[in-house]
Amino acid sequence: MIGLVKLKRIILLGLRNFYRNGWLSTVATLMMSLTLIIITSFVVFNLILSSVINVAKNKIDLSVYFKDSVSEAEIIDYQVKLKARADVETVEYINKEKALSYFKLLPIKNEIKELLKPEDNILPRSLKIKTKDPENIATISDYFSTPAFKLKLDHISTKDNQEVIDRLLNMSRFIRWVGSLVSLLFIIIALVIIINTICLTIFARQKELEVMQLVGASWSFIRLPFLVESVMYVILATIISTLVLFVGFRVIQSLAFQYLSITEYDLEKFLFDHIYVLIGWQLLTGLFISLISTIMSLRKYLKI
Amino acid sequence: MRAFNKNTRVDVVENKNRPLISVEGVTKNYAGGIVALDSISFGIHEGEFVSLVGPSGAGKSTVIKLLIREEIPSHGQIYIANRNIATIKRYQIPYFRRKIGVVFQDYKLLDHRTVAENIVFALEVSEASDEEIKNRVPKILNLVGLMDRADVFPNSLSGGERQRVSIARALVHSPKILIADEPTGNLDPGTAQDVINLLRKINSSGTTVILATHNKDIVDQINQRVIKLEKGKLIEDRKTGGYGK
Repeated sequence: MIGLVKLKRIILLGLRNFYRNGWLSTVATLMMSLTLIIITSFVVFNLILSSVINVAKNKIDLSVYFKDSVSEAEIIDYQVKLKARADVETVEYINKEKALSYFKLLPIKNEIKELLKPEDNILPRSLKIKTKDPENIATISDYFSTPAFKLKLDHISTKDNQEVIDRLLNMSRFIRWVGSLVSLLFIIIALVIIINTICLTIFARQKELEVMQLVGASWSFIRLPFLVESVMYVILATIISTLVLFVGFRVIQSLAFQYLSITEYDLEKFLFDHIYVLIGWQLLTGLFISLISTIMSLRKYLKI
Repeated sequence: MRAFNKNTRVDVVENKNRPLISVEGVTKNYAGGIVALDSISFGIHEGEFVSLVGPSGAGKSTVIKLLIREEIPSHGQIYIANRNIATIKRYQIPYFRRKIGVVFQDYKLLDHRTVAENIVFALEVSEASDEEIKNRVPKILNLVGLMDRADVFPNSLSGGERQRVSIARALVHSPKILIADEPTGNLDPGTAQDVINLLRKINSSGTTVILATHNKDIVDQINQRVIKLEKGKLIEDRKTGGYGK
């Protein structure tokens, strides 16, 4: 019973202080909102970047085209062997009929498409191989580049664009690295700002702390209302930050669509799909930052 | 006899072996070789009214900081109710403070709280029950004559009224000891007299009062025990009488 009364008083004291120190509370809430917006934007940006890079990487595959002299049974045998490999995701056998149907779907002139008839189909049969990691494409390519395959193969698709694949992979590694570094830098700046802001809100109320100690306020009564205030900053900041992120990402998406014709990635859907994770992440991050800075500041100004 | 609050963990009751407050060979040094107090000793019995006098820098405020356990002596001991207060654990300090009311020259009131709220605040943060708060606040306001100013904010009060709020807050836990550090320093003579009269009234009900001041007229008029400090040394301790030379 006494515990409940005490808890009620601590919460009310914290809420009353939040309301009465309106200006300080507003500044701290806005700074916390900015911190959460910065941190969450970079986390979401990195997630999207990784996702876009993965989509691009997943499009990388390798096609091995066989000469007509190789029997279908032999090709299927290679397909079975490749499927058994740990680094291979899928192996699709494309016979002449399938190759022709794919050819017909190509965005080329109909006159050219009509030159190729089923009865004189010159398109080679092939195995379309997708590896678990695009980095392993080169290993598969090397496997088919041995002398044993020299007379059997027409050509290997990646041979021509290996350089482009390597560049794409290097670029994805570089973008991830730079993205993480820039995010880390901004997160550190945001953390320094919010920690200082919370320290200032407590510094500005040294007199209140002094009076509390003077009248014999217990340990919990001095510290916990400040923590309640911090929780208030975080809850309000999470609401503000989430709203700003939704509006911001909607604007970014419409600009990306308008100027860059990027339609593959639905940012708004991404945010809606991860709404609970987003809110939970912001609450936890905000609570961690604000509670640590509040405790640090109180330790500095309290003698008991 | 137990002190007022049943939840107390630090009793402040005079023991037969020592006076209620016993300062024994206390020295307080600060960084830079400053000696604020130099081996002073005195004892104060329950119910006494003691004026701690001396010019600025004599060490009066240091004595008060030591008595409320804001600081601890560099050498020597201070016993309150036969307990060496340097041994009070950090978590026990709030309970100890509730047994000692303190009044300061600058009042130390919370400006964004009304008169009543300043007093309620002191009770709330020291875990008094709702019933206790409801009973005590009007009584205390009545005692200091501020019942009609209960809902006013400190900024709208005169200096004397603010000091009375500060005294009311100090008395809210029914302390055994009331320490007043220059309580009349910011007040005109008439208002200062009111405050001193209030302190004497509190003393007459059994509370030990320690008044730190350099106001000669007030000390002469009180005509009670005077402890005189100068440059950190105790130079005079007279059982009755005025400020002296």
